[in-house]
Amino acid sequence: MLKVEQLNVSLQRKQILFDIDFSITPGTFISVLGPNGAGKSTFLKALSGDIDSAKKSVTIEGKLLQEYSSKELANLRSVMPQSIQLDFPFLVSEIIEMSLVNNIPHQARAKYVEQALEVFDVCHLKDRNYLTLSGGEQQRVQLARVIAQITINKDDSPRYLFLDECTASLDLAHQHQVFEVVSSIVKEKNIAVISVLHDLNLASQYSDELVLMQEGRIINQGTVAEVLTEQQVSSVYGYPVKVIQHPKGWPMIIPA
Amino acid sequence: MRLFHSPMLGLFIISLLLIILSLYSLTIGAIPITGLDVIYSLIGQQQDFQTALVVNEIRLPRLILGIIVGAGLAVAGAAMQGLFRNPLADPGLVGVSSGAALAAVIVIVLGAGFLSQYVIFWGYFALPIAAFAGGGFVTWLIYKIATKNGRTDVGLMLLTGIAIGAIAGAATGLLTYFATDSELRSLTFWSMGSIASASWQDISISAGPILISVIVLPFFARALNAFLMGEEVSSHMGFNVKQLKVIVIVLTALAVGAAVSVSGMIGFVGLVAPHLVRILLGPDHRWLLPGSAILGAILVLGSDMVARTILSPAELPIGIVMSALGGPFFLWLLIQRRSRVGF
Repeated sequence: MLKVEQLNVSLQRKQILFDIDFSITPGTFISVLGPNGAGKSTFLKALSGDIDSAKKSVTIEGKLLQEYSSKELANLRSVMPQSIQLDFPFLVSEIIEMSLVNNIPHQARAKYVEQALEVFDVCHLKDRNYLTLSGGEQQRVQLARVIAQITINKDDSPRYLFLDECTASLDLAHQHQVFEVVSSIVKEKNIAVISVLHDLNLASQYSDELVLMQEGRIINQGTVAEVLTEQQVSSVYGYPVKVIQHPKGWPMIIPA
Repeated sequence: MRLFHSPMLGLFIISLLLIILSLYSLTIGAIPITGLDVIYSLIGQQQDFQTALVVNEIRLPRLILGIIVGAGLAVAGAAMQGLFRNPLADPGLVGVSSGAALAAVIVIVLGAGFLSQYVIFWGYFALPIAAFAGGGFVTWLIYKIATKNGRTDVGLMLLTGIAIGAIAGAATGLLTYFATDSELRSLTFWSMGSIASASWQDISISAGPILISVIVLPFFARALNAFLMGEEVSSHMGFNVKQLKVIVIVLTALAVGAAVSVSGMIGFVGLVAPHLVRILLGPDHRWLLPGSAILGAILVLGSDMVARTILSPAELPIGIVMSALGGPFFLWLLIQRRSRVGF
């Protein structure tokens, strides 16, 4: 379990997060929602160990983040940032191999790369120059790398996956492909996913729970139906919305 | 895209090229010496005293110094491009060499008076230590100015280099008024770059620091690879980012400082060599760093051969030859980047 109590985070003397209480157990997919500037990305950074001061309050399996070495953390959690800027002509297979935290023999590497790329159906890109890929292809390769880091050649102990707006540059079909893959991994591999999202309907369809943030505080945390109410969403986003039912059951947010 | 699919084969071939070029470079110069005579001289079996002297005391130190300086500058360039996550970083372009040279010039001009205690204390290591400090300070400064949230702004990086170049130029200009005649001659040497007066003492000063950089940096190759995707990404992958940055800054300053203190400012080696190696072997630092060292040595050696033969018996400073080669190469790189999205 990843857990934090009474987390306060200030960056450059400005307080960004206030009194955050949060916990997640593996096997759960939690999306973090909220308007721009609500502190979602900072929240994610605090939990994933990017903010030094927060490492003193966030625990994974009861142990503070600062008590883990960076290598131990890398085996335990991986992070997909909003965008990755790379200016050097690596091959896709080389990008994937970078996610190997522990050394493995040379022959096993090719298999590792195959397994990683298979998840997103991008094995055919293996020998391509990363810089020549489309934005969507680059994003899927990076996701494959991030997921490989905590899933391939690992035992079944709990692991954590952080996604920050990771489908922003993907088209409709690929957005859904990504979240289908992620939500199936959550169930099969004893993994917890914490995902910052702007698209409320994607969050509604794939999440087990939602966290709604406003001005650095968690306003509400609960099941999709509990959080996505007309009154709450309208007031947090400052924009009138209606909630309707998708034919398959989950709530959908549309402008009122 | 890549010339060699097996990096080992690529490294082997450019090493072979370096060896052949080295032997050839010993045969050319003001007095032509045959390959056979060169080999006799090297193994101490040369009957003709003068030939042995030219080979062992003039050409050999120059050859070895060229290899050391080229390897040092190129490895520093490759590592800096990793640190700045940008293939346009070069110790010369971003002002690290200027900083190192300025520090060295200060020691030369003020060494007799104001800094005499320092010079007496460090002996002939006074220069390389000053150059190391100057280069290290500039690298650190540029990193602080041009990098924000783990991202380096190329424009800021290059402009900071221009500013530092201007400051160093002004300071050097000022110092020329205090310089004696012989000091002035060595100031010119600093600004142009030359290995013409190479001595075994130059080699003994610069070989150590450069060898350390060339050998130690490849141990951080995987960390540098990950670093190219960003500070946070590489720390998520389990690499110690803070440690890496300190190590790269210290080792590049060490290599550049040592190179500058014995050969002045030879520009563009750190830009051209890593680029060529990426075309040959790809961008993986495990091969890029050793490959750049070898190719940097080839570049300096080749330029030096041009420098000493093109106007024979007169000599050009090697810095001029390197700039004539590197300037157009840099322009070509800029034009290439223009056509790419995400300039």
